[in-house]
Amino acid sequence: MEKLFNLENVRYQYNQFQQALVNVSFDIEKGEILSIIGSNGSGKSTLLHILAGLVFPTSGILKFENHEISESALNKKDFNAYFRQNVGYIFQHADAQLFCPTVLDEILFGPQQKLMKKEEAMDIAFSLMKMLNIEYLKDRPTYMLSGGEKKKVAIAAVLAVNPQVLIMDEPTSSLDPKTRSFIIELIFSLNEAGKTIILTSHNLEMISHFQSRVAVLSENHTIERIGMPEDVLNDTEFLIKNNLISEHMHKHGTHIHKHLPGSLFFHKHDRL
Amino acid sequence: MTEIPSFLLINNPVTLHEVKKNDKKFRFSFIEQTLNSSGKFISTTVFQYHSALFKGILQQLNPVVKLLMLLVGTTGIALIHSVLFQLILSFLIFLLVAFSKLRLRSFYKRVLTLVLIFGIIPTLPIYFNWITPGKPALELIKSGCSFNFWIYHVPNSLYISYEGIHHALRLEIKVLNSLALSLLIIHTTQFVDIVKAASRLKAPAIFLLIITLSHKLIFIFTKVLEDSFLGLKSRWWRKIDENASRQIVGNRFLLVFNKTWHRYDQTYKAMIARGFNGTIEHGYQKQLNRLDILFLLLFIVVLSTAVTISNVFQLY
Repeated sequence: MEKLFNLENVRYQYNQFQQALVNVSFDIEKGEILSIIGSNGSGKSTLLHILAGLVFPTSGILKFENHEISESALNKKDFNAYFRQNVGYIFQHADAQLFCPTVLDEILFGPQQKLMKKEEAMDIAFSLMKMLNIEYLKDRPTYMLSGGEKKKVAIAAVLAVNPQVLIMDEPTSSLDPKTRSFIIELIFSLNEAGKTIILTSHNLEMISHFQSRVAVLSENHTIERIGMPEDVLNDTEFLIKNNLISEHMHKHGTHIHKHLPGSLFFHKHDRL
Repeated sequence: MTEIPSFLLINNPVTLHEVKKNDKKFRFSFIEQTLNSSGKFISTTVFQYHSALFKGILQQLNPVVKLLMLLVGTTGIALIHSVLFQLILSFLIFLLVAFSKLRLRSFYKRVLTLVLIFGIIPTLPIYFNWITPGKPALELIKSGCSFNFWIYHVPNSLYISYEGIHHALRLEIKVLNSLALSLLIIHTTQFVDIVKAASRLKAPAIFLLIITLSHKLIFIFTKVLEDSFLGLKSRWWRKIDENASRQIVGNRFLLVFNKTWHRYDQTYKAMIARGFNGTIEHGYQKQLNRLDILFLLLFIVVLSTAVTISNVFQLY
């Protein structure tokens, strides 16, 4: 497989006392789904911000298709256009990325920059709205939407550019069960079409469905392990150590007892 | 939810050759850049909790002492009229910044930006003979006659006077010293300790409430601004038409203020839910030690000596 992203000793610190990432090195291959998991504050979102070229490593090198991603590289118009069209980023809190007056404007923002014809851009926007059941919101200002609706609009706006890489920070958070299942299905289909998906999630069960690599960020802000879900998610001791699972309480009638989550997250399924 | 649109199922990556060769710098609009830079400036100037954790000289002092230093210091700076003495004070503040292990370059960059806004721009008219008559240093415009305009007398020539330069510089250096001292205290003390110290010095509760809530509001505002700029950055690569661009800028202003208000409202409700009743409890406070008292006394002695000498001998 061809390398898409390459990270070498990437370190990121907010200030002298706050490390976000420490010596992170790994590759992301073209066409794979990479799930990044880790406890709160382990640096997942920062890692995604770095991969999306929104912040830059304090030290170390990040490459995309063998081109170094740095502030100076993205300051060049042509390289910025190339990178932004290829890499789409869906934020954890969708309202951060919505800035156009209405939902339709938001979705048309990408196609407009691609200098697409109006009819073609409209077709794309309406097909995405139909897919996500948000046609009725098209003229609504984005700040008047609920959390789930905002997330759907953000997904549609990013997909409108049809990027080859989709970076998704907690893609299913704040979504209703039906939309959540659809997003998982969408991730599968986009990946089948050859797109690379990088996502973070606390939902280990969802990740186990992808049957693709899992990277674990430890509380020390390093990549603790990277491997297939059957190796990572079945290692209970490792998951407890990295604060990814913990004992929880159950009540059966009057009897309360504690135990670890059921026998494990990894269930092998055939691909859809 | 229905079918996935067919265009999404085609992976058609954009190559670097496809995008028109354009080595020009990618820039956001002037307003976007200003908004982003202002947010960054505010957050790095106001929220410096990590530098309060450095092992420097001021960080070791009790917040009450630092607050008293600020009050005495700014009063003293206002009372000293000698430029030479003000320069000596600047040097002493510089030493305190260095011994507090703050990054000199970034600290003075912030101070000088604020001096430009609050010191240099407001004092610009003082340089000219319209406001401060005196000996010409640099003649700018010479017209045939003088005339009166409203309450002003417009002389027949416009020039920068030596007296104007002296007065303006004296004011600017006072602003520089006051701001440097204020930022030094802010950067070496946790905000919560400043509020606690102010409460110990019997500052009115309403004042403390206002500054606490304002601090929270500024924090939320800069965070929303920062997040929203990252969102824009992730999706913007080409200049779009002026009209759409204007709408986006306007809409972003609206969104930023709307989100700030919304989050602030939630924060306030959370405070109410946790029993907030209009007074802020300040918890435990540190006791003054010998070093605190010695440092404060030394500071007061140096400053009062400078004020006395400067005023008794009428040094300007």
